[in-house]
Amino acid sequence: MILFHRGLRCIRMTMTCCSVAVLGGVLSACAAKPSLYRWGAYEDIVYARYADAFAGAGASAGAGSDDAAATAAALLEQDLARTLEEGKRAPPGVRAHLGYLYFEQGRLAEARALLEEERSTYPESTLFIDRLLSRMNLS
Amino acid sequence: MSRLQRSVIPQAATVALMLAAVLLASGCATSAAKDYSLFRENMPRSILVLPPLNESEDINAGFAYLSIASEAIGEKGFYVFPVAVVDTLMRENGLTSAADMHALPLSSIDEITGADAVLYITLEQFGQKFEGLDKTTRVRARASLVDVGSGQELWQNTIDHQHGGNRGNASGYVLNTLIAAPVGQLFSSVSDRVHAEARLAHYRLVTPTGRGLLFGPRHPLHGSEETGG
Repeated sequence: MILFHRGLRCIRMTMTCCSVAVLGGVLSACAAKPSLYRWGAYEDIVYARYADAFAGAGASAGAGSDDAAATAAALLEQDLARTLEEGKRAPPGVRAHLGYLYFEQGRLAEARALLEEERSTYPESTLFIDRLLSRMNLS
Repeated sequence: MSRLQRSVIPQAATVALMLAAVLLASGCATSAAKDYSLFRENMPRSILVLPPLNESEDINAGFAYLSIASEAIGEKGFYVFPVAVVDTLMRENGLTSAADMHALPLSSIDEITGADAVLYITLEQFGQKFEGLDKTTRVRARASLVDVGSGQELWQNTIDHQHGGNRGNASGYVLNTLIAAPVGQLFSSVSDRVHAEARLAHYRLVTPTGRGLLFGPRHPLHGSEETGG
């Protein structure tokens, strides 16, 4: 009887182990899939824009959104450079986001260059980027 | 013998129940197969993710979710418009809430972005709840992908993602190490638990084969799927 008990408990434990193993297998299979892009800091920088994580990041007193945009732009700029150095592809939206951050700081030539790069890398964005450029009076 | 039966039967029943649960769970993944024919016929190249409608109690849920929405969709092979830039433009045009943006006619979306499809996300629950000593993180959301040209719904899915208590811990631990925030220390305050779980929920919403989005034109597996109609 005790043996029988143990047997059942063993089956349960085995099943639990199995499901964990299967789950682990599924997860590692997911993780092993090659990515199309290196996403880097992009989504965190988007989040920080809303969470005001960069507010007050600037050295000057009364740091406002200009400083937040500058901090975000500097980070995204470094991150994009790293992506390209590693020979990886920058995901959709990253160059456009960085271009917009430049625009917010009045760095218009850099803004235009990045937006045009988004457009040439991702022709799906053509209409959107053209609209953006004309709104910024950069087209 | 009768003692043996009394003590064994409940355990046998437990095992049977567990087996049934496993079979059901695996059955769900296949039997609930979606009809992908409209999606396939109107395959979008680009997807506009609008800020989610937020029905949850967390006022920050909308932007928290929006900020983690791009990667899973981009990795499926679609062009994803820069979510924050789109949001900013819409706000500048007087659309100050997600509800306003969700109500925007498709013709306007086409005019402003040229997107092939729009993804409307609604957050039904978002956040952490304490039950005794257990802390549960729950993200419940629904999503609908609509063809901008025709207004037809190409795909929809729901997710009820929970993490916490004693049940989700083993898997949660593995998953959380997989989705470690790339910027690390700098964002330790912002990429919190809920943020991480939202990312996970979103992945479960859009990526599973047979339930998630089809592979888009930028994915090597585009067109290879045999799922659905």
